[in-house]
This record gives sequence, C-alpha cells and structure tokens, in this order.
Amino acid sequence: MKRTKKYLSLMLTVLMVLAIFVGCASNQPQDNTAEPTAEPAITPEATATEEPAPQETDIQDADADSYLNVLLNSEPSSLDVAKFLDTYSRSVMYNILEPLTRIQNGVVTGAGAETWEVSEDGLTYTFHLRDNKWSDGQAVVAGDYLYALQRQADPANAWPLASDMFSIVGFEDIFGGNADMSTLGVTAPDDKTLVVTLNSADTGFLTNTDIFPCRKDYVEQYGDQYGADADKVIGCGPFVLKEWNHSSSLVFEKNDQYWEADAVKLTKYTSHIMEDMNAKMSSFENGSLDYINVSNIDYINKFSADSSLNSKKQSAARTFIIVFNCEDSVFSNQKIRLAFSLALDRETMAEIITGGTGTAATGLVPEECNVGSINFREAAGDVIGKLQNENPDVKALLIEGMEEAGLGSDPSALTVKFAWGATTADARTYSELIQQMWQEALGVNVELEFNDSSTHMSNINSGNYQMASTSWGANPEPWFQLSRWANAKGGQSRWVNEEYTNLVKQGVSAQDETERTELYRQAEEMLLSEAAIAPCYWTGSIRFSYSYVKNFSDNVFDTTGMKYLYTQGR
Amino acid sequence: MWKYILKRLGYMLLTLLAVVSITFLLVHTIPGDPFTSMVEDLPEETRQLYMEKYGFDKPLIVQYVRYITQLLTGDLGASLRYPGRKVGEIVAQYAPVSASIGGLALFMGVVLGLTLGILAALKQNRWPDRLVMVIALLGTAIPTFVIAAVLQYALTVTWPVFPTTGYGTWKHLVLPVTCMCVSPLASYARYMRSSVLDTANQDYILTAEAKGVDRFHIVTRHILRNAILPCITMICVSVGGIFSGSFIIEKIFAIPGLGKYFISAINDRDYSVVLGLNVIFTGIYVMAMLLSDILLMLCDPRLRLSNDK
Repeated sequence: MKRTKKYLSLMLTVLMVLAIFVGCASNQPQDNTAEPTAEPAITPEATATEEPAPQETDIQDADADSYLNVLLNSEPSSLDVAKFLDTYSRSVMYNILEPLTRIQNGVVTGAGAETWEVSEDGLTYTFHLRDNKWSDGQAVVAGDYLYALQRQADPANAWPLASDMFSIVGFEDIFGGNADMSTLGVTAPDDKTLVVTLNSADTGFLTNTDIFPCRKDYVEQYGDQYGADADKVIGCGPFVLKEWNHSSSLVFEKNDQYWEADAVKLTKYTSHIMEDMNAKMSSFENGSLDYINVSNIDYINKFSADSSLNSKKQSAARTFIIVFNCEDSVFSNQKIRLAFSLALDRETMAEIITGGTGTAATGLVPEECNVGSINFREAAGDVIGKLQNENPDVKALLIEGMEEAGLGSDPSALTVKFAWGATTADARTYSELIQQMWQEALGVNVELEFNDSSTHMSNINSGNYQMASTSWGANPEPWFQLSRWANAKGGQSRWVNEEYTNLVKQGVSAQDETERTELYRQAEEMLLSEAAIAPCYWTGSIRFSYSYVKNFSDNVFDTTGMKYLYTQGR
Repeated sequence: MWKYILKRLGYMLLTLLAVVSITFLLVHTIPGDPFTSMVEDLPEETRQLYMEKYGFDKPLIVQYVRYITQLLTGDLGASLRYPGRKVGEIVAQYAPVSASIGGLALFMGVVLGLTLGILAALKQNRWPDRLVMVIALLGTAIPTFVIAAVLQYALTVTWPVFPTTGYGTWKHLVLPVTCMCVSPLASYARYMRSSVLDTANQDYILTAEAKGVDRFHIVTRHILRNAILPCITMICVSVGGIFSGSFIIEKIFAIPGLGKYFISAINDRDYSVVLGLNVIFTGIYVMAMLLSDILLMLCDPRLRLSNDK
C-alpha cells in the first residue's frame, strides 16, 4: 500500500510537470507572420540596427555569387495568368514574368512597357513595349499581353480575380458570357504596341492592375496543366523557375535573357514553403532563411536583442475592420453602428491584438496611401478622432439609436453577436477584449461566435451576421479600399449609398490630384460617420535580416519582387 | 476461407460507398465554398460562373450521381484550389512522402515497442519494467507537437545537427521519424507487456513448465506466439494510417505530405480533394483491416475453423 502511494505521488508529479509543458505550448501565440502587423512600440532594448531605404537599381558591390533563402507562407495555387488566385502565386509571377508596369519605390515604373501615353480623356492607354525575351530566347510581343488578357476574360477559365480587370472595355460582358471576345477593348496594332481602352477614366488603373504576358504555344501544349509545374510554365521576368517541389520549395535562377539582366545581381534564390510559426522562426535563427517578417512580440524582442541583425519596421498596408450588417434589424440604425464603432478603444486594440506592432486606425485608408504626390492620411486627418469629439457620450448615442429603431431605451436588454474568423486561443482572447470594450462602454450584451475562415467569409458574404471581424488590404491609391463599399451590394456591410458610390466614382476619374483627394476624403468620412464599418488598426511587422542581405524594397506597395536584392559579404 | 474473403470484399465496397456518401453530404453541408474562401469579396457573378463551371449550381443529388459515376470510372477529380492538379497525381506525389516517414516511424515504434514490452513483462515489477512503463507513460502523455518543438529547437538551432524543415535527404527524416515513433512505441510497449503477462498466466504455459520445457522455449514458442496475435490487428491498422500522414508533424517540419494537404483541403473547401483523399484513405484502411484478419487466420487455427463453419 505504502509503495503504491509512493508511485501514485510520483506519477502525479510527472503529470503536473507535463501539464506545465502542455500549458506553455497552447499559450504560444498563433501564426502571426502570414498577416503582418507596424510600429515596435515595446522594444526598449532593441539593439538591432535600422537600415536605410530606398531601393537602388545600380549595384556595384554585390557578392559574385549572390543567393538567398526566403520564406513563402503557402503553396502557390497556379502560375497560369488566367487561373491563379492568391498572393503567393502573384509574388512568384512578379519574379518570373514581366508585367507591363511595376511599382518601384511607390511609383509606377515601366517594366514590360518602356513608355506609355494616356489619352486626354483618360480612357485610352497606349503602351510601347521594350525589347524583352522569353527565357527560351523568343521575343516578347504585344500579342503575348493581349493573349493573357483574353484568357483572363474567357469565361471558360472562370478566373477568380477577373473583377480587377472590369474597367477594361468589354471585359465584364465577355467574362459574364454576354459578349464576344472580339469586343475586348485591347488591341495589339504591332509587336511593340498594346492599346487598352477603359470604360471610364480610371486613375488607379496602373496601380491596381497587373497585366502579365502569356505564351500561347505553352498554354496549348499543356492545356489544363499549364502553370501547375516548373516545366509547364515559361517566363520572361528577372528569374526562371527551375524547380517547384510542391508544398516544399521553389528554386529560381537568374534569367540571362531578361532585358535588365545586368541589374539583377542575385544568381539564385529558393523560396521555402513553411506554415508553422516556430519552424519559420527557428529557420531564420539558424540561418536557413536570410530574412523574415515578424509580428509576434516574443520573437520581435528576441531578434531585436541581436545586434548582428538588421531590422526594419514595415507596414502591411492592411486595415483590420469590424463590419456591421446594415440589413440587420439592430445595425440598420446608423446611430447604433456609430456608437459601437466609437466605443472601441483603438489604442488598446493595436497594443494588445498586434502585440504592439500595429497602429490605431484614424480612418480606413492606411498612412502609406498616396493620391499622386499627396499623402492621403495627412490630407484626410483623424476621422475617427473627429467623430469621437463630436459624440462624447457613446451610450447616449446608442440609446438614441435604439429608440429610433424601436428597441426600447435599455442597452442591457440588447444582445448582439460578434463573429470572428478563427477558432484559435488568440481569437478568443482578442474577441473577448473587444466584447469587454462594448459591454463596458455601452452596457449591452455581446455574444461571441467563432468559425473557421471559410465559414466566416461565407457568413459575411451571405449577410448571415450582425458584426464581424475582417481585414482589407490597400493599394497605393485609396480608391481600392473605398470602392469595396461602392458596389451594388453595398460591400460586405450591405450598405447601399448612392451618394457614396458617386463620390468614389467621381474620385476615380478625377485627373486632378487635389480634387481626387478631396473626393476620397469626403467618401471616407461618409463611410465612417455612417459607420458601415469600424476600422480598428493598421497591421504591420518588423523585418529582420542578416546584415549581408542588401537593397530591400521598403515601400509596401512595390512589385519589384526579388529583382534588386543581393548579398554583400555573406 | 476464400468465401470469407469474398464476403469481406463485398462489405468493403459497401463501407466505401457509405463513407463516400457521408463525406459527400458533409462536405457540401458545411458553410462556405471553395471560391469564397479563396478570394476576398468575390463578386457574385464571378462566383456563379465558377459554380457553373464545376457544376456546383446543380441539385446535390445530381452532383452526387455525377460524382459516383466519375468514381466508378476511376477518376478522382481535380483540385479546385490548385488548378491543373488531379487528385490521383496529388496522391502519387504526396503519399510516398507521408508513407516514408510514417512507415519508418511505425517500424521503429513497433520493433522498439514490442521489444521493450516483452522485456518489461519478463522482468515484471523489477527496474526494467518500471523504466519501460515510465517511458510508455511519457510517450503517451507528452503531445507530439511538444516533442517536435523541443527537438526542433534543440537540434536545429541550439545544436544545429539536422535541417529545421524540408524533405529530401536522410537528415530530413531523423527528427520527424523520431517524433512520430514515440507514440506507437509507447502504446506497443504497454500493449505487448500486458499481452505477454496475460499469456504467461494461461494454463498451457503452466503445463509446459510442468512438462519441463526450458524457459527460453516457453517464451519464444508459447508465450510470444500467442501474445503477438492481438498486436497484429494493431499493426495492420497503423499501417493503414501511415499514408494519411501526421498533420502536426508535417506542418512543424514543413514536409510535403498528404496529412497537411488533406487538412488544408478541408479548410479551403477543396471538395474534390477532400472526397478523393477520403476515398483513398478509407480504401487503404479497410484493406488493412482485411489483411489483419487474414493474417490472424493464418496465425491462429481457431479463427480459421470458426470462419469456415
């Protein structure tokens, strides 16, 4: 008996020790690297050195044999211009294909096109192609760009990102199966010229659109499988895809046929596909990866303490948003929505949810967005702060709204539901934080709902929610984010407002920067005071790199890919 | 015996059909579809076009019949998330990876586990027994992801002996195989120990001892032969599972295996891949069960007799 007791106590001790292990593991933050978050507010002992911007194009001091190992967060879907659907594929395509234009240091720069003209009315873009070659030596011609656009418009391909191109004449009708391919507003009068006609003037056209070329003979040879493997795709970009080990790695080598091959110093790079956060961080720590974006505060503190690493704060130009369903019986009332939006303590959210790397949002559009040469955020100011000043008593605002909506005047009798698109421990912590903010400031009852992201997105898109968390990426011009609420459905908020739609439409076609800024400013202010959404914070991350990695692009919107990176003194 | 196997094959097909039908229904009942989960704010017309292209706009029963017909021709369909990849090719590409790691881990787990289990039973209540049981307890209690995370950090960052992630050389195999063999090792050790102890207390062992058979022959000819029978079933079931891989290990070590692929297909609502992989997993599993029964019959004459009746 005595012996049994001894063993029992031993076993219990072992179990307790194990419980500590398990507890630690489940408390570990979830993978934050996929959606990076800005501003390392809490790194007092940071000794990692900041490096200088902007990206250079004339490089003299590169290692003779520059190579890099980089991270790719997920397997690319396809490298077919008319089938791809995620950012991972797009990031590969920037490196193996040559789009007409690229964004470099925040500015639209000629790439496949050397120059271009825009007609007076802003409707016709005439691109003059430069001499570039496919990796097999064949010349890249205007017809290759035309062919790619035709394939993207072809309803048989059902390209999920087709709506990006709807501003081109005929594209939407052809894609919907209501018009013939010959009506597409794109022509190639000769091998060096591509003419694109738009439905209406679109100042965001070149910043929001990627027009890649595509080789007809390859598509015809491989059919459905085109773009699914390294040997079933051909490129004309700075690099050639040599190997694609699915779900594991992609190996790229410099393309000697590339028009700017002299500027490309990297002879080889490998993208390693990893999804587990600890694996990514360990890989960086032991040098298997040469740089990494981190938004997990523990790792930020750890890497910041290492003086041999370079660090750079990076915005993700993405806004974390809470959307309100404006067709819901409660949230159809503007005052109720506004009260819920203003009750949020954005500073606290940015500090806790992003681990101190995010910035509290003062509007929808992130700080990096410009209208031509005007910084939009500086021009538009702190919209949220202004609304907060105008409505100091959010509870009174809520009660007013409840009375208007016929919901009585007792907030404690009101129960609403807030949905979150993840089922992780972090998701629970963060949503409980927001729940608490609402309950304390407004005295309402907030119920929480957790779903995996597919279910969550499906619920939002079908209007099956009251309040839901989501996030929206920005493009260089504010148009991209603002237009999400200017469609026939009223965006995910189902907030249909003709005045708003007109403001955005006028903004897009306004050629004058100041006028455009003002229209966008009015639109954003309307979206936020009508409270179709509650923007909460802008996400970001810290990029850590070994000191031999040089010449990063520090503009979040840049599409130069790996082209100008190199190593020196590895 | 042949009649029995034929009967079992018939049941197998029925099981497969049931599993396919249930999975089909489940996959199509969960909210979300492959397209909304792939693209932010997909315009409704694009979604419609996509649904039409893949026939998802048709009534469920029509889709079901179409799928079953397609299955009968041996076509498992193509991925929606990764255009241009067929389910059959995905299996051919990813399954060997999972199987190499899972197979090695199972082999090591079984060999070591059985050995330790026998050792523990023969030295019952002495220190080897206690040691084995503590190992078995730890192996069962510590979650694989903890072992993996600790080993990964210790042996790839602190002491960089092995590569952190990836697949290709034998060095890539060491850590994942080690992590994956802990759990089978622990359960086989425990199972074998109790099985051996159970057998050792049977009357026929006593008879053998009374007849003066020496200890070595009692253990090898009488105890082990009988004690290993229950483990055969377990091993066959485990073999059926090695192709489906381990989601956790594959994610942590970034191994391009089927386990990770299957989970991401579910999250992406990649219907045809989820269904196709499920058909294959079920097929392998049912085959493994059948195999285990046949093996048992070969090893145990009693079962043969009862089935022939």
